[in-house]
Amino acid sequence: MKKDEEVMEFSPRDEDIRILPDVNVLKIGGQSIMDRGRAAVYPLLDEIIKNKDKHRMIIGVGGGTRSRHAYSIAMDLDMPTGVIAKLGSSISRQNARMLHMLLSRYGGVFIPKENFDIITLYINTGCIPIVCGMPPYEYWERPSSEGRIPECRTDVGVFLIAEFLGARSMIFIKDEDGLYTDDPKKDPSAKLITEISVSELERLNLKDLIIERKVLELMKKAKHMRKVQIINGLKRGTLTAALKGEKAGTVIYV
Amino acid sequence: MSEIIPGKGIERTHIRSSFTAESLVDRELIRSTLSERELPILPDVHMIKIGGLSIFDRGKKALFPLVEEIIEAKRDHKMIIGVGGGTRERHTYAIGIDLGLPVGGLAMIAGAIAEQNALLLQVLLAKAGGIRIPKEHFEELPMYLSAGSIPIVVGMPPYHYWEHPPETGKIPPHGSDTGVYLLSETFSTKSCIFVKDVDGLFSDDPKKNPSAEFIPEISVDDLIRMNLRDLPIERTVLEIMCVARNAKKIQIINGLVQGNLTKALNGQHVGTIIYKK
Repeated sequence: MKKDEEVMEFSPRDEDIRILPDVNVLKIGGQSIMDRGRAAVYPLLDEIIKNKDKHRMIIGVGGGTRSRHAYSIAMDLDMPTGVIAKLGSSISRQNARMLHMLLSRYGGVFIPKENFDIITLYINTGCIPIVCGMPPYEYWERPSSEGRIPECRTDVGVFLIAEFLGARSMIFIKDEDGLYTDDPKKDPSAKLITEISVSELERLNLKDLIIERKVLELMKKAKHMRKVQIINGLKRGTLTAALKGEKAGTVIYV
Repeated sequence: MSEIIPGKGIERTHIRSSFTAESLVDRELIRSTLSERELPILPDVHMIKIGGLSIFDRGKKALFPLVEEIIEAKRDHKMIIGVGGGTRERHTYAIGIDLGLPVGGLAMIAGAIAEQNALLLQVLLAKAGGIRIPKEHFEELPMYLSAGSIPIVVGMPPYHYWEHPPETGKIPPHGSDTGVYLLSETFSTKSCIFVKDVDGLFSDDPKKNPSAEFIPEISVDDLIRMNLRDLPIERTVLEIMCVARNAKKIQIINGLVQGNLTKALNGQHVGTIIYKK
């Protein structure tokens, strides 16, 4: 028989349990990282491997230019949002499998969502689970309030994994230093925002954003993931700093 | 033109398309993709939702007549039937919430109850071509439908661990009404009929308040504005309906009254119609 105090320690009452509270969830961008090929992916993976023994990680992957191409063709064919969402999953799965092959030697393992229940097994054996970023909504994706691009894409999918697990951190790895007042690729006068709350960010009503808007909406309702970090995966050392909990990139919080 | 634009070194390799190198979060780009026209995928098929609590949990008395009506209606109509969970689903939530499970965990385990109900209905409809179709086989739906089968699907959408945190409370916001409604929206089905145990929508729960007034027809905006305490359908359905492109009308009918489903399939107004203006 366990003593009462030990049972109480298990989790405070009326609070959702944290399923894997010491795991860091990383999202590797499709367009921002994967589509740049070896020059961007290899150094990033090198940094991941170097951090592997100090930090437990789950990696979610985005789609990128092939997703955009598929969306563009599908929209030309008058496809509904549910079909477009299903098409989106395929590319993010391809990218996840690419990372699986690259990281296999170091314990990287692709986990299809059907095997998600045994993700703990992989983590406890020192593996790095790699998942498709797209949430599994597919035909059940809700129609968007504007336009036809699914609102719940890979940022949302990976964020919701972190929320479900009650993870230690949610780090979005992109190709910019963080969140800017405008797209820095198009407007060089755009300014970097290092820290901002969701409500302030909504008040700014930016035309463009570095993460999906739906993530902000979900953050406000989230029980655990009230903070996300966006970092530049093209700069060495940034991921290591973020994993240590140091300041890097942009932190968005509730 | 779908041309590959190779990137040197750290540059990105693109495919030329209307979204090349674009941020899909850009407001203007998102707006440019708006179109009222969407390809109708299953336009001659009726989407029917059979309630768990309202029908299944009543057993033989409610299900047998309804099953006979479905078999009869099959001669004239193509149907996909989605089923809900009911009492055992609520019990699952009660225990799960008490244990402190997160919403994604609740969403993941709740579907098992609708799976049981789907199996029950499949067995009841087997002689008339009732088949259970998991989502992995949805691309085969046209074949089953043209063979005269009645596909039965689990209502609960596969949001699973990826369920959104709810606005209030702890229950997964995407339940079986929402799942069935979203299929109707994506596949542009001919109709979306919710079979419940009340005549439709009332100004209050008619089971608790006998003076509740019946609402035969209402727009989704008006209904949201009324801010009713209780609804016979999940609120998320109304929320989605506001931005729907295809499923702009649903009907809630009383499945305990024989003939109602047949009439609704024939396009008659027998319960409450909720529509998008």
